[in-house]
Amino acid sequence: MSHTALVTTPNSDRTTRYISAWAEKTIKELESNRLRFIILAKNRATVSILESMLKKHNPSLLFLNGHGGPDFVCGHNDQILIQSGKNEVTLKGAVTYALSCSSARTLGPSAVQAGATAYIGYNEDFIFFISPEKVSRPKEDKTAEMFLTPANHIVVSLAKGHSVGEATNAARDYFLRSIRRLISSESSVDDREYTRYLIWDMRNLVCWGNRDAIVVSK
Amino acid sequence: MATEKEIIDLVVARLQNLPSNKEISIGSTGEFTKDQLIEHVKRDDEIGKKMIALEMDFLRSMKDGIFYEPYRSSNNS
Repeated sequence: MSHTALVTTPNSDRTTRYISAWAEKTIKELESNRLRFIILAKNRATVSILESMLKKHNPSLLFLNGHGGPDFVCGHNDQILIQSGKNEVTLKGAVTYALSCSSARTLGPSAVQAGATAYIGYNEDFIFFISPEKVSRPKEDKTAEMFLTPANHIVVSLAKGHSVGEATNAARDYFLRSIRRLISSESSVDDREYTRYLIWDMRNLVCWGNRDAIVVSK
Repeated sequence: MATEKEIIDLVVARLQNLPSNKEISIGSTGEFTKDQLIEHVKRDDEIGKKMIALEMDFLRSMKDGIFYEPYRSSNNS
């Protein structure tokens, strides 16, 4: 096991800026000494650099942030990084978590079929809310935090030595705790409106492949 | 069984309650304000249909008692 994680953090529009900022925040706060994170940021999140880094480092975890569709995940400027039927074999032997829209539908099973250890992602669009006044400081956006912290909990859990199945369930439980907090009397009327969108993200989070796989020993 | 128009009216009414000072990010389709979302639902276009699917999913999840049990997907995961 390589104990290396490759992370793509494109930044070509508002959505990718947000998810990438929160991915980097998550990794920074994790301060994992068991998993070495290599970040391919902005214009380094390209297919040629990713494929080269995959060959060089043979990572146990791949954390992809970007736009996507049923059979692909994108990097910077929406360049396709991994596509079903094209280069999903490059995920062979690794656990992938894609914070990306709907890629678990086709690319997930296709990657596992091609030898990926596991693929965690979303069956439908990943939806979140933002505060427009925080666009230049996405990490301070408490509204986006409600969605992106549970989503990134997959990586936190995997980095602590939990299995793919445990990490997926832990993230779902994190979503559920946020949902329960929102429907309690502690939250504002406005915040309660986010409940159904959190449920949507939680219900569409799935994993394919070996649920018992780990990316780092406990 | 609700008609298509009744469902659209229901979803529009629910979207009216969203905060006006926030935007929703829906993947590569972009970010939308509450008013823009409502327009998409009224036009019943791709984004509007997505919002309708989300509301229907929410109602199904309520029926499943999602607030009270640890959530475990029944699919491959």
